[in-house]
Amino acid sequence: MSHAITTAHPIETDSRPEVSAEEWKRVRRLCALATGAGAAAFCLLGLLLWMMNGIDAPKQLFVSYLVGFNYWLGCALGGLVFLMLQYVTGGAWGILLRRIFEASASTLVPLAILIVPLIFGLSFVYEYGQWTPKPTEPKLASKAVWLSAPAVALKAAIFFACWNGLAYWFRRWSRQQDEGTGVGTLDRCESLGAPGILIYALTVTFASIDWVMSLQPEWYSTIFPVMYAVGQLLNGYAFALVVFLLLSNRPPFAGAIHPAHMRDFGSLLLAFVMFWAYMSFSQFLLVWVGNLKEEIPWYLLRARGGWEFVIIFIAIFHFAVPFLLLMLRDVKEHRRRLLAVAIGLLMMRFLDLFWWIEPSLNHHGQYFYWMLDVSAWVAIGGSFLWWFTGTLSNRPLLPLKDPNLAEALRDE
Amino acid sequence: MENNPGLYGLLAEFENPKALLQAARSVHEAGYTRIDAYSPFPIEGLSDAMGFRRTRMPLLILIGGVTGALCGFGLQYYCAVLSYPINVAGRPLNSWPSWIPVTFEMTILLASLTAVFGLLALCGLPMPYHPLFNVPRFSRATRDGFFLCIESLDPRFERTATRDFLAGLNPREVLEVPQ
Repeated sequence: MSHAITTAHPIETDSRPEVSAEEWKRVRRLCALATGAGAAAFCLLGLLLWMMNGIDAPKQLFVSYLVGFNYWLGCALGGLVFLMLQYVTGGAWGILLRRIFEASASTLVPLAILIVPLIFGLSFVYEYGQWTPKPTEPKLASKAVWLSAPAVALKAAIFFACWNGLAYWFRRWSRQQDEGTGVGTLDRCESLGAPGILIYALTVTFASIDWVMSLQPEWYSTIFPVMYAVGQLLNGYAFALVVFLLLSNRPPFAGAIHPAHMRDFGSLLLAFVMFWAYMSFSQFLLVWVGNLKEEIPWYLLRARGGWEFVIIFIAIFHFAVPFLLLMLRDVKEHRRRLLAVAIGLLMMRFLDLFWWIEPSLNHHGQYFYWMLDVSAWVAIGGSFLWWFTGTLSNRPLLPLKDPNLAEALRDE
Repeated sequence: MENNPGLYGLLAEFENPKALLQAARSVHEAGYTRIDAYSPFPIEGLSDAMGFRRTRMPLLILIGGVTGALCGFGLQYYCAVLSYPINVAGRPLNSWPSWIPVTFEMTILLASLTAVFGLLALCGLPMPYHPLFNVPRFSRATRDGFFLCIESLDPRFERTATRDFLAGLNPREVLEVPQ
């Protein structure tokens, strides 16, 4: 066809001026407002639902908080892993998104503070989350110690120390690269990337067991940590992509992005949608076929009492629809369409986590508790985004001193 | 269209991939449609530059994939439900979750086979004879030669004008390709 778009022309011609300090300030004010409003809604709704005898307080409050916390932790850790991944693999997509991944990873600092309320709630939320290990039958004794509140708190401290350490060093070296004060900073980042990914794989395995899987302590699944980690990767990447696409019609991105970049971004999102579906289905298939009494209750709880519609909704909108859309060039190459798919996936991540966590609680037929989950999500998200935008606006949006930047922006 | 008996087209050779890419862009912008480029390795953006954008391949591969999915699922459904229904540990005869892996594999298999053979078919391969083989230099397209050919069947093709146009694109040389 003769009217084809060629790679000679960058996408998006309606470029607007660079994001000003004033605009960043306005966005950050909005984030602070969201935190306050979310927290207020969370407290008021919690009080209201508790007085109406509608919820299992305080357990429900902590579980709702856990959903929101896991969501934004996924954004942050997904960003950290992609930051390491792009140092290890290279490629234009990674350089364009690097600052966004760095800013996502920097939010592990406030998240380390935001987990503290959960530590106090351990004994309410988890059967074994007592401060002195609960006496139990000998078979489960080791589990009771491993999942007791002091052990979980100590492990959480170690996990956050590892993650924040990684995030700190990557940001320190890239800052040195910007300022031209470090020697071999890129080499250092590349050498830390691979062991960093290993550290993440180990820590996230134990974190997912402590924080999510042990909500039903008798249940176990070896795929679950992978499923949890893939959820985080999808969450972190979709979030970074949304931020990037929102900024992409402004300098320094406007005029620098070409359809080939957009296709790469879309294809990577497709890959992680498929990875997520593969893991989620694998666990379901093995548990369903095995039909063992230790394993199947997890799915029985999540497939009855209305949850069966949630499963179908997730299968369609977390997999089928984005899968088909992201195969089309017409979706990947258009900023608004790709943005819509990425935002849709971010919303589905919330529903997926909600479906993992909430059914482990007996809601006594009440269903307004989802408002608590949403307000906790807004409150934590507000502080996440406040910190994120603070880091992102602090430095140029592209790593200008990176030797591979010119290669990443070339148009042919 | 002029009548050019015995002439397949005009072949221009370029120094490097970048020159070929620029030439392809200019030729496409000049409105030529019956064109093709030849290089020893894939050059990113070359097909876009020539205006080759849409092909029938994705649709064919989709059809292949859907056929594979239906065959894979259908085979298992036929075996387990229609032909030889047996009760395995009380599971339903239509145990669809355990059929997904095979269905998935069949989807990939037929989609990729369609991709390989569809590509060969649409490219008209294998092709033992091609007029370009009449140009001795063209054998360098598999080593270090970067070529662009405008066929004489192109509606805009005029022997001298096209030759001058190609010569203006800074090629190493422009050759006539006999039929």
